[in-house]
Amino acid sequence: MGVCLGRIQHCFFAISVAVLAAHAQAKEPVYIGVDAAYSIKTNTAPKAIERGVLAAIDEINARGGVLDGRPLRLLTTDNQGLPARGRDNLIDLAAKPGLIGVLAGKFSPVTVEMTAEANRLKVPLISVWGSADQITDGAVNPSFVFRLSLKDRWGVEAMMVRAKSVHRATRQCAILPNTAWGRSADAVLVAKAGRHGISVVSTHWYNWGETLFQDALAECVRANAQSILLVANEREASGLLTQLGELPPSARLPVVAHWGLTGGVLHQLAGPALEKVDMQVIQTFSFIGNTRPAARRLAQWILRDAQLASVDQIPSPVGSAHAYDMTHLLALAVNKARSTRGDDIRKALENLPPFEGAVRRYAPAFTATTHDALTPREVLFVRMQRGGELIPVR
Amino acid sequence: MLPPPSPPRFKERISGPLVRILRVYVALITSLVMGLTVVAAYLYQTSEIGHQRQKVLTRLVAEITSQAGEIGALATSPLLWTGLTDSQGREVYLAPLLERFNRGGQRRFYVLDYRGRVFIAPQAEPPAAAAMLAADPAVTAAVRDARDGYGMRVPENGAPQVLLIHRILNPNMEGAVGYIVAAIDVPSALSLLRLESDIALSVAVGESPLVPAPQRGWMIAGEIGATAAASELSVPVRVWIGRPVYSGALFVAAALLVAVFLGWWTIERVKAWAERFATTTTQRLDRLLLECQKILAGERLETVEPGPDDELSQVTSALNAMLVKQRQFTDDLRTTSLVFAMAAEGILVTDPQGRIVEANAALLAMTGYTRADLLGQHGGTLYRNTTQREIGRQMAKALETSGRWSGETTFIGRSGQQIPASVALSRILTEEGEILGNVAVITDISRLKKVEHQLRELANRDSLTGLPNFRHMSERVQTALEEARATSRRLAVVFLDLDNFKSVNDDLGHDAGDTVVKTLAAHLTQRLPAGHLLCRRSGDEFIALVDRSGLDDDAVLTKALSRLTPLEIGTAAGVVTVTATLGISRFPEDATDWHGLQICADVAMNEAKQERRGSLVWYQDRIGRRLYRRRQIQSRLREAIQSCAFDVHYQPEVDLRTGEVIGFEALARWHDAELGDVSPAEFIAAAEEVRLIDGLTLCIAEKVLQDKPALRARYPQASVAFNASPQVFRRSRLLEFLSEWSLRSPGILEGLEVELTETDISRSSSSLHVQVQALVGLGVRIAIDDFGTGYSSLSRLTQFPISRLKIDRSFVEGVERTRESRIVRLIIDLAKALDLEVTAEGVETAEQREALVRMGCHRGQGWHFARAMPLSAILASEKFTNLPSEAQ
Repeated sequence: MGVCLGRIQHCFFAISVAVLAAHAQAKEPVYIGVDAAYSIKTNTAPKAIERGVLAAIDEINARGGVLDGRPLRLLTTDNQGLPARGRDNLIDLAAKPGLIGVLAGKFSPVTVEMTAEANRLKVPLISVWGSADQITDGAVNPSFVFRLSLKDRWGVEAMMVRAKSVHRATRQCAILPNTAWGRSADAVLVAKAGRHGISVVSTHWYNWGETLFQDALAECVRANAQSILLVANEREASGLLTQLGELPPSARLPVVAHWGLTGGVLHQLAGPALEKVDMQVIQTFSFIGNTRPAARRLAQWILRDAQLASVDQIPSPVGSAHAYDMTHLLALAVNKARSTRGDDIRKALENLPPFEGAVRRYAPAFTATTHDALTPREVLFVRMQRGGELIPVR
Repeated sequence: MLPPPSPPRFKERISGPLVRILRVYVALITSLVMGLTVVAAYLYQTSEIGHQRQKVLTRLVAEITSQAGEIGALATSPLLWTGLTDSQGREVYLAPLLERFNRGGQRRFYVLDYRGRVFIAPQAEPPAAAAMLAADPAVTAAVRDARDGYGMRVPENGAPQVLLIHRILNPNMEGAVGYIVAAIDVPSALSLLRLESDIALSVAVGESPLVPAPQRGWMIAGEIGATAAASELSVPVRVWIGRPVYSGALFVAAALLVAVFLGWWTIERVKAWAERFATTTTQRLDRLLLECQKILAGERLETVEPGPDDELSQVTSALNAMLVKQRQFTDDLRTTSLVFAMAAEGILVTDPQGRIVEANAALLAMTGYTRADLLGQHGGTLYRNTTQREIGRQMAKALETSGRWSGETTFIGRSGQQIPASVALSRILTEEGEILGNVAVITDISRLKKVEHQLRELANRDSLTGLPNFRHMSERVQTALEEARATSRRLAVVFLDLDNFKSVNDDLGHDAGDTVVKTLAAHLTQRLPAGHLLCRRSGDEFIALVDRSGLDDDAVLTKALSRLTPLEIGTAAGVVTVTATLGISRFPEDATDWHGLQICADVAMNEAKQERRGSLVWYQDRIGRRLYRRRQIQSRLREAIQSCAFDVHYQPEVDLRTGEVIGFEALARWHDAELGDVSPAEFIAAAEEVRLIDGLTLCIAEKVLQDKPALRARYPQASVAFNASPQVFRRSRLLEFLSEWSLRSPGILEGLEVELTETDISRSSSSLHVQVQALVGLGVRIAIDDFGTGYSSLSRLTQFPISRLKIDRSFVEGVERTRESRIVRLIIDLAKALDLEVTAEGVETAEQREALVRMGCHRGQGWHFARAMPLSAILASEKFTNLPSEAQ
């Protein structure tokens, strides 16, 4: 069922509401918003997040909803990857009665742009994919911004270490986007590379939409780099991999990549280049071999919803898993707060009981001082197959 | 006394009308200039405004196009896309980007977000100002419709701006991710044009009203529009420009004032100049007139000072040139007059109609006329007589065709005397070919003609008997034969040869012999039938032509002739009884030509001599044999000439004083197998008759040239002569023949001599003259053979390049006699006068040689020295001379 919000008519807009219990349907719904770049065609992250939310809502509503029978419903807005739209969407969503929080999508800059408005409007804003440190490192107190996702501070550090341990790369070449995301990663590289005996011998900054990386690759080779640390989404990554694949095998440096590229159809864009390049991608979650009950439930729900045959075919698994866990955590929070007011929800989130999620056991997920739900312990690396499957690598 | 110069009216003629005309002209021009100034000022202003309008529009369109292009480029900049997807920290690179684009004061760029809010503005821009721009209706309308746009805006306390709004589109995203707005400051954009301060300017884009609103009133104004297009933006631009009408008034007023002033100034200057010019020119003309009058009066013939370089000076120079030319002409005329007056030859000038207009003193003296007698008379007055008509026609024809005539004619003097004259007549033509008349240069050749006449008389008469000589006789016989043929008269040719005349000479001496001959001649003249012609053919031979038409038969004539002798003749040495043998031929029965008649008569006489001396024989059958022989000779001659079957004998020519051989004369000899020896008289006459003489001549010449090297080897200084018939010149054969020899054997012609007869010379054509000149050019010398027996004009002699005269043997034979000696002396003197060598032919006795030497003739040939001999005999002979012992 879809509800159109008149204020955002010019945007793609969809509302889905899961109705799990008749009595719950009779009461005022409680809304969870998802703001993501739906209209970027190569972006699979919004749908993955939406599936995670909907899977959790199904389970919650099936148990009678929240706040004594009020159904949870999903409101989605499309930010097109534009921070301005994300901010406006947040304002629009905040005006919706019963909204208990907004889950922000893959693009860190959009989420960073929304944090000020979230704090101003006192609307809990939870990043379920964005990794930029600035999202949760804001100086505002109390902060309404939370994250259940990778954090560059330890995620990028893990990537550096991974390259060194797997490829013995003490001379690494960084290719970064000219955005808050890239600047976040760069700050980690600058701060921590030396600590691990690693030299970042070349840093290339690229702009949105750039697809030519020959110069950057040549610079990496010229600087005698031993691996590439890539921070990119699917479109830019496909260009880089293609051009790297065109180099002679001896010049094809191994790549350790940030996970933005797993939030899109990179396997379709890069094609055969995927097999030519040795690339490992950082993740916090995988359905493959995952024995956690929540993870299995979620996998089942997605396989059913998306008509998929196996879990390795589930796209952008971290998005679904993070959103699934965060939706349950929000449901716990609203029940704990007994209110849909933002400030109450924030306090409840900072004081949740332990929860067995798909990704991990949160005990607790957040505190008043720690708004990041994940830790370096969740980090794992995968290789992307030709069909887009993300196969964990030990 | 010279007349006073004319009053100087020229000055008034020039200055007065010139100034009046110039006043009107300058007034009209000034008015025209004033009118044109006003019109031109208006047109200039209109054009200038149009020009300014076009400039402003072009500048604005260029600026808008440029800015639209720039924001179009910026709208697709990945950096800007990145900025729009970035958050905290984007100012680090976006602000410099925008500032880079916003350098310069003409326009400012703003980046709006997808909703038209200021995303990033120029750093110096107050946020409120940027927000006001974002709120401009043109911007909000473009954002609302998600399209590109444009508009006009006047910021508070600011200058008009043109707004260009361009969407920022990313191919990966739907809709505009933002907008770029360019605010173009119109005055700044136009500042480069440096528009004048009084120009009012309004601008509009699209359908918006002009900003600011155009001024009204006395304006020269106009509006113009165009479209600026770049990067998908198409912006219609309108420009209105106006300027107050009075803007150019000051300029117009100043121009008018200057025009009036220049008009007044021009009139005054021209007036002053015209007066000065007229005065100066009048003075110069006066001076020139005075000089001309002096020249006319003959007071002055010196050139006139020309003065400044102008047309008047050119007139003066021309006058000077005329003076110089006139002086030269006068000098030439004086010289010509002197030549005309002092010339030894008579000069006669006639007008084109032939009337005498001038005659010089020499002519008057020559003719006896006075100038008054001649002037105005026809030129023919001087030579008109009935026999000169043909010459008059020749003159007229030659003048008509070639413009000149020269020749001899006879003038009739005032007293009726005939004046033989050589005349050179020429047309007087101008350079344009107009006939002014004729001029004749006349030389009195009376004296020359007189000598000529004497020579002719001598030539025609037998000096001993006073009878016509044989040549003259022959001419008269030819005429008589023609008349006889015309009148069918019958004639007889009588050959008379004294019997034993040699014994008279031997016994009684030559004077007695001469007396006998003279007496017999007188006797024959008396006793021969009336109308006869008689001459002495040689020593004691007479030949007569008698008309026998009136005689019943030849017996009458026989009887009459038989009575001619014997005759007793008294001489100083005693009485001599002479008898004569006669041979008679008949015309037309025996022969119809003179030559044939002679032969027949000769043959008959020889026959008579053989029968009985003193008898008379009529030519009868025997003549047929003679004729047969002649035909035989003619028929054999052709073959003989073709095979050159002739021998050449050489008769030496010696120095009469020393006996030294100084030349040879080649003589042809012919021995035919059938005819035996044929005498030269026979075959030469036959060759001339059948026109083979040129072949014969060339045959002899060929042999002479072959023999000549041997002769010259033996006698290096000797000349070698051969006789040439005039026929050989008709087709230039001799000249060609000798030219070929000269080319083939250089030097072969040295010492070669060609002998012509007087008759050949006198009857020669211009062709012969030319050929003879050419032969002389080849080194051949020309001699006149048998001189004195023929007729020749002395003037002709002088025209031919002759080297030598050969005195005919008939004169040499009688050189001891007074009469012959006079002739020989005359010929020798003539030769000396003409600077010619002279050779005596037929020297047969020592007396003759001595007489010739005494007369000054030092060359001779004849049997006294040697007969003609073959080459081998010549080369074998040691000596030919037969000189007196004291000379040897």
